[in-house]
Amino acid sequence: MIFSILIFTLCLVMVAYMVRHLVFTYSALFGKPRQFVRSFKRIVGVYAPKVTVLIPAHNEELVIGNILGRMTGLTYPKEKLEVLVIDDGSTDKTGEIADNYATKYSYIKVIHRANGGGGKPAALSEGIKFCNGEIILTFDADYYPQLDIIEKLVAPFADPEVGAVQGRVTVLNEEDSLVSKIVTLERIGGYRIDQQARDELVLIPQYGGTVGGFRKDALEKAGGWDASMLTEDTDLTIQLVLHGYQIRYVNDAEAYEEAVTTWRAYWNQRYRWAKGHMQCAKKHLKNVLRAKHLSRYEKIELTLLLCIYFMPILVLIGWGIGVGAYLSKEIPLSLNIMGPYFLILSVFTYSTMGNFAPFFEVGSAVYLDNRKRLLWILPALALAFIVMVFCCSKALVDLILSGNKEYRWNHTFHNGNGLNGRNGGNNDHINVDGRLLM
Amino acid sequence: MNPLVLVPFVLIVVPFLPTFMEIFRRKDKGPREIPEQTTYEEKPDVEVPRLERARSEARAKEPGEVIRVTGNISIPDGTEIDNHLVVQGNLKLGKNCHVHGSVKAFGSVEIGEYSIIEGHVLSEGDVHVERESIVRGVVDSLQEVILEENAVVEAVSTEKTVKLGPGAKINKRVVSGTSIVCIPEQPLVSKVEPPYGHPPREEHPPVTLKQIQPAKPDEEKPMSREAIPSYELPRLQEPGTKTEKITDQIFGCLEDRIRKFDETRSKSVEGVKLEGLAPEEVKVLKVAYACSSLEEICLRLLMDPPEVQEILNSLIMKGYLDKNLKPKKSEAGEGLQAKVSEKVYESKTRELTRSGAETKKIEEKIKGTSKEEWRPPDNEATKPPATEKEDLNNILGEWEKVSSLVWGAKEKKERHDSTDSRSQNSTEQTRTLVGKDSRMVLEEIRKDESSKNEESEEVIHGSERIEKRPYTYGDSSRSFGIAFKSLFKSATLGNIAARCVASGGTFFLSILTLTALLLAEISYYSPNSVVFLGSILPFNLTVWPIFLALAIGSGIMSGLTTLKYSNQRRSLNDDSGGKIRSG
Repeated sequence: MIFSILIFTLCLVMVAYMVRHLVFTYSALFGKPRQFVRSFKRIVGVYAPKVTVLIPAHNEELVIGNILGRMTGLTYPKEKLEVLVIDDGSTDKTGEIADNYATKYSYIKVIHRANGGGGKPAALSEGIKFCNGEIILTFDADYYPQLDIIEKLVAPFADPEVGAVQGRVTVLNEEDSLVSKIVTLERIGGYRIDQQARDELVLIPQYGGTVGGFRKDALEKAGGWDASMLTEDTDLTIQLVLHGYQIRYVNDAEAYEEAVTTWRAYWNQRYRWAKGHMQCAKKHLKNVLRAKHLSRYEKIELTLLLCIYFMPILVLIGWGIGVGAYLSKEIPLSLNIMGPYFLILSVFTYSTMGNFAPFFEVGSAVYLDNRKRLLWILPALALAFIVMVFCCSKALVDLILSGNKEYRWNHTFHNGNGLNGRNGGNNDHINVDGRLLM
Repeated sequence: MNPLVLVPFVLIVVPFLPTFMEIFRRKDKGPREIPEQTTYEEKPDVEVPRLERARSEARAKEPGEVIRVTGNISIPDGTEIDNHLVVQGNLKLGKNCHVHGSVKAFGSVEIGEYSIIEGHVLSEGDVHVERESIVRGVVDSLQEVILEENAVVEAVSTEKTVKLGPGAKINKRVVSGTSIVCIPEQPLVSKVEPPYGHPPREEHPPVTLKQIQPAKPDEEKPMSREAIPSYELPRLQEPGTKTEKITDQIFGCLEDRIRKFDETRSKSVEGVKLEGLAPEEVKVLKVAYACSSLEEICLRLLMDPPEVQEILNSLIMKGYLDKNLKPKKSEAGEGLQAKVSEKVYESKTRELTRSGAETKKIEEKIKGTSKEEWRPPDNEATKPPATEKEDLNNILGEWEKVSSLVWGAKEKKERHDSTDSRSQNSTEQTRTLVGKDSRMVLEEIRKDESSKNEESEEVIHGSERIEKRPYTYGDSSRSFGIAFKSLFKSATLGNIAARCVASGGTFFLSILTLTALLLAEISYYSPNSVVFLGSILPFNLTVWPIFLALAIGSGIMSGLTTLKYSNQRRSLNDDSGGKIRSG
């Protein structure tokens, strides 16, 4: 009986997420785009406030030159642009390369933090003190943005209700390994359908911490970045929403990233995201449910967003319950189905119910992006989902056990693969400008 | 018993549960409370997405930097707003308002005169920035953007047309989906009520009236130059149909020519033989050609009136001037001028009749005047030189040519498009106008006037003329018909079939599935019913797997078809993302 109730509850939760993903997918496939979304395309280049671009960097000598070189080529008026590189206690040539650019270009500035390495939120908090811009955009050091990305990201801020904006992240080095291909699939599904649908359905697109930005006064009202959070972007998103701001997603504003190429790096990255999301859920879920100024649709969406990294854990629990139900000879729903079949069914059913909708979402996104060759790799996503099951479970266990201790920031190593095809190496082949010599 | 068999019955019962609850609910036996005040929330005229509405309603529960309004709002003159404004409807800002923030509206936005908006203006409808207003940010709209006289905005972006009045200024970029139009300067207008039976045309501005009172011949005071019909046509603020524009242009051109001709006549003193005239007489004669009264001549020459009067008497006696102090004109010039004035008069009449003008008032006005009043005053002293004759002939020739082209084409269009009975009548009348002598036509019009009892706003008196654009109810239906036709034209048979399959399959999928399940359950648990149902239904119940297969198959078909169709649509319309990359 107990197992039946647990299975029923699990099914309800999984169905909720399944419906969410299906709604997003159908909205992207068949929904009519909101007219008002298009208005920002006309304003692109017309509305040009003062912008500060923050680039936090910790030991990024292999990639920092590329993004700074890109900053010099931006089409945004330079008199209204300020680029601030935060050298967060780097032990390599990151600071030196950034200084070279700062001496050549007046709008590029560098902040050297001697006591750095504590994480991205701390670096950004330091950088915000020196910002002069009305709008603040953030880019990770390994990103390669489009030349007109600033105009596209800034345009939605013409709407007084918009507090933050998020652009699209595209993987540049997808051919490197199976892992990078899987990450590509996830990125396409997550931005092309998930973020786009949340924007079009007047829900809450998530500010992802990079290729995005916010109003400076909105950040001040929200209390700035919380250095104790592993995912400061999710935390800021919720904070802004709780203060009444709107977040918009701009699909046109693309920046290219270097995706992880190994399972270890994938695990580390996802572990940090899962733990950070769970931290945010612990901190904000009550406030979200109590907020009077959020519509019920926004509350549902935010709740599902905050709890999304609990889903893989539910799948693991479902497997366990299925095994338990089989061993205890309790067969729920009286369907007269053979025991072994039910055992196998429990593995696939909960995976299917929990993961089918994301599969469908990713597949539809890839189809809409006309990346049909990637569709052949779609079944490999199941491997990532299985990894996520154990990764998220570990994150939850660590979160429960660690209590209020400080969390260790696991830096993701970037070796500039996406731009020059080389797999990292020594520093000899880096020139003064920080670009890798071919 | 398998509990699954209850599922279909439960689904049938569930919608009736509220009814059962209502029956058994405890009723309040006390008197009904009547509220002192009732406030009804006005639904906005504009369609706001449900989720957006829910979001805005939720945001309105807590105060913030943004003032939110559900529905249309009209802000009184002189209001100062320190916040941003978000309106789920149409916004009308009064005169001299000051908004220290941005304005966002789901409907149209109208900014009154001398108002200032410190931020941006975002609208899904029309944006109308009236004269002398300032917007210090971007004006973005999905419909038209109209900037009136001396309005200043920072930048404009719209999917439709941008209309700029005289002196309007855009400091930065202008992005328009269709065109950028300059509105010519218009004189101040007074409102004119539409005629009986016509709905008020709010979208059409009132017509300009220019009262000109030509002096009657029996007046002692000599006619002033202004009394001469200037043939200046009142112009609408917003140009109407293309044909009216051409008409205005034609008349404007004719008037210019005639005006120039009149002006040249004033210089015709050069052709007059001035032998035998004293220098002072010559001086007075030259001025008399340009002036219209004794006082004017005195002012121009700065001479004493008795002195000027004496000289004028002398000139009259010598035959250079007539009693009205006008140069005497030649007969040939008089005839040509009469012909010009007659033609212009008839063309005006024809134009009015074509536009459905009431001719009753025409007759009333015409009765009081004579055709001779249309003619310029006598001028016996001068003979128009050969060049003037050629000018007049050229004017007439051009007018004939253009008028036949314009009104001939216009008539064809009216024959097809007119749905209003009155316009049909006018069409029939105008049909008779082409090819006939204009004098006969005018007589026909006068005859028909007596049969019509409707009021008219049309007035003809001297050079007065009101241009009226008749309202036809067919305008909106015509545009819908055109859109519908174009839709059908573009849709191929394959697309239509695909849509039918998609919509039909999706709709019937649920019914088929439910039916199949219900019949399967019944047949499994109640074998007797199989016989019964088999006797009333045309197919064998044991083939329920085929039912299911059909349902699933149609669902898959519809899904694939819709997917393909939407992908085609997205590839055409979607320019916001999903960049095509090679696989």
